[in-house]
Amino acid sequence: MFDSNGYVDLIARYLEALGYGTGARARRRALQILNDLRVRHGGEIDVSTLLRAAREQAALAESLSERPLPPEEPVRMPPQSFRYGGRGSTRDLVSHAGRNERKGGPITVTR
Amino acid sequence: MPRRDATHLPILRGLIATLTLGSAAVAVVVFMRIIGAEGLLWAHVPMIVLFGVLMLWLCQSIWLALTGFFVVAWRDFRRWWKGPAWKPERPEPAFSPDSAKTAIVMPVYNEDPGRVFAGLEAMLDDLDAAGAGDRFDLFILSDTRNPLVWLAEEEAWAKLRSRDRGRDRIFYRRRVRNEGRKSGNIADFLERWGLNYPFFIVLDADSIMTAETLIEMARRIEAQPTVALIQAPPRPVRAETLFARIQAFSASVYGSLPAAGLAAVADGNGNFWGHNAIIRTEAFIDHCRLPHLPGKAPLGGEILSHDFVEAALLRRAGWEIQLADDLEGSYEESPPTIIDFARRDRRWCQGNLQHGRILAADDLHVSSRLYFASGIMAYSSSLVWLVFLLLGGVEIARRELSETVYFTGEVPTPQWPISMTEAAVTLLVVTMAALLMPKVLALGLALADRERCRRLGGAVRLTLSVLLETLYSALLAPVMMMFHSGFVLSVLAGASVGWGAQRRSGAATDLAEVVRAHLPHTIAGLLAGAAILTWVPGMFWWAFPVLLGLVVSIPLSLVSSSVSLGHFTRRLGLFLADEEVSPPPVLVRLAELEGPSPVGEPAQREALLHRVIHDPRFNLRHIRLLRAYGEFPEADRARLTELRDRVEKEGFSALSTDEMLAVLQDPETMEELHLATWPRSAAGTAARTSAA
Repeated sequence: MFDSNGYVDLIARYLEALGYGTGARARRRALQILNDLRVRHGGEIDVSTLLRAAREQAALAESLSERPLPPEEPVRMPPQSFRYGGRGSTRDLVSHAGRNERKGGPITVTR
Repeated sequence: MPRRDATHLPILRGLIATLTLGSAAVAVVVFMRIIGAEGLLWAHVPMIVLFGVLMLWLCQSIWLALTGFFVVAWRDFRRWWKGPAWKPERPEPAFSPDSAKTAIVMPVYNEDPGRVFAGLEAMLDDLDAAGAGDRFDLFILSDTRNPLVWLAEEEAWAKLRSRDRGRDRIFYRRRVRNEGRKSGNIADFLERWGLNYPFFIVLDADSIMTAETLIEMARRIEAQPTVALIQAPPRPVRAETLFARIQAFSASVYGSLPAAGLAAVADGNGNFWGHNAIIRTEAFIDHCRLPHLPGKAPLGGEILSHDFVEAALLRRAGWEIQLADDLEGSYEESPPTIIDFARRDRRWCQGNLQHGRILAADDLHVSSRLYFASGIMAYSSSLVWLVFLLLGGVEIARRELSETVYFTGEVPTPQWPISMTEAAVTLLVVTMAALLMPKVLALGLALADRERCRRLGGAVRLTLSVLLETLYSALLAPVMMMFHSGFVLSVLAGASVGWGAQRRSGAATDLAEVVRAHLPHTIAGLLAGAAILTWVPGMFWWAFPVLLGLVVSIPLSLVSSSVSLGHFTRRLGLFLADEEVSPPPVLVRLAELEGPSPVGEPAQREALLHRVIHDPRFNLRHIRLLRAYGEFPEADRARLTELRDRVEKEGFSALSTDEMLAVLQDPETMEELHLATWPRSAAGTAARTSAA
């Protein structure tokens, strides 16, 4: 395959730096990435697009074996309070300032 | 939910309560006789009340320690009878085959990543060696705000994961917004991943636990469905300074007595100390989301000492809490100097005083109220003692300065002043004996165990260590009284404490810092001494122990913060703690793994900032972690673009901490920076050159 810009070498080195293959294996993967990109984009491809594609490949491969975090099992901890003045009293000393409110709305309780 | 074999508990609790109240009452009566020898005045009432409070506080701790003595002595006797290798029977296997994994969670906040990850690796190695490595998942829950420490944490996590390749059990996440401090950090974990684990073990950044203890805690809580929390009392280890070594020594030799006494009396009414404990996840989720107290800090707002409150909420819901004082492999590191110790106490003091707001709330278990009261007294007793001393001084001065009246009214015979010196001396001697009794009993236990006595330096060195520790404690007591009194007053005056990382490693204290901290104590000691010598010279020697501690507080603090003196006393065989002379494998491994801080040197800090942009693997990992957590601050794209341009031109270190955080927290900016700079960086240039 014609590689006038030295892109295969660039991607291969990048993949090596990512820890996703070395030597011939990295070059094979680089070639594959470049081919895929050419099919998708055609014409000129900028370096950022190449590197981004290499990162996606590496991240995908890594995510199959290593997860940064396990799957979430969302649940909401119900707020607690302290009451005074005997049973039935409505005097509630404690406020429930919203803590741990996540962006994007409330969490669904799945339990 | 009392257990069937706990029928002796009401008797034991009643006995200790009676002994505490009885002995305090006797002391108060004797004191009233002394102070009221020439007639009781209304002005004496505050002193009597304060004395009563102090005596109650002292007596309960002494009777608990005495109870603990019998528990530990019985345990030691059984060990001696059955041989040194004997341990209480523990069913095998450690877990049932159906057991789910237990999560070990370590919240961190700007801690030294070198120490944190070395400790975690040591514990994982210990668990693997025990064949239980796959029964635990590990979560590093970062609330770190220092960008360099954050990056170093990510790198240390990646290193640990790579060592652990193929085993999906070590997880790292950093919160973008650290609401709720440590309890909010734990709550965030529980709300996301808690339901994956029936139990979780909470550690502090300086916690270390042996695999045996981790496994045993998991086994115990699984076997007891009514128990929500088991606390393994942590012992201080890895002490280097003289101060920390003395603390570790006293915890090692005497510490087991009060813990065993409390555990015996509490049974299922134990308490939570914030870490080194296993918790039933569902119970905690259902009952332990802490409310905010109304009003502003220091007495309102977020609850700082969250652990006692969480324990109270669990007890309120009917769950049991156990204090597993028989589990030995539970460790932490103590502050290296008096000033660090006091700094930590300032935070705890504020948190404990907040408990006064909920002490009388409805439906709390009586044990929870006692723990709250005890936590408040841990600091307030110093103020009580100080006020008592001041009132005592005024009373004595009043007597000394007033003229003795021998003849009153129509009575023809002289009224001789009544001397109560003998009673006062008796009261002092009895009080001192009571204070020293736990130490003497603990020393007796250590001496009776020949093997342990030999390990701890032999009978002479061990006894000498106890004597020196007692002297040191006596000198330190008035200094801590002044610190704590100041803390209580400052909290009551509305001063709040911030959230800072704790200094944990041994380092000699800076002279200016020591003088700043202790000069008020020294001046107070000198002024009080001068006043006593001027107006009531007869009282000088009575007040001498308190005055001496205050006057020498600066040299005392300096000397005890010395690492070399800590090492020197170790070479002399003084203040040897059990774990120091025969450390468990997990502590040995930690010492092997721990290196210098990865953010200690400026060059290291520069390198970290460089790598997160230029190193493809580091950069990708950083972004993946951000995206995996999935929470991002509100992004001001224009500002981020401007910051990105500055980083490209001037480097990361040109940004302020907040600016660095803004860039590091935004995955898009981090990727753009990397993609723009990598081709120009050395690796990129090499790649292009080679390609050409």
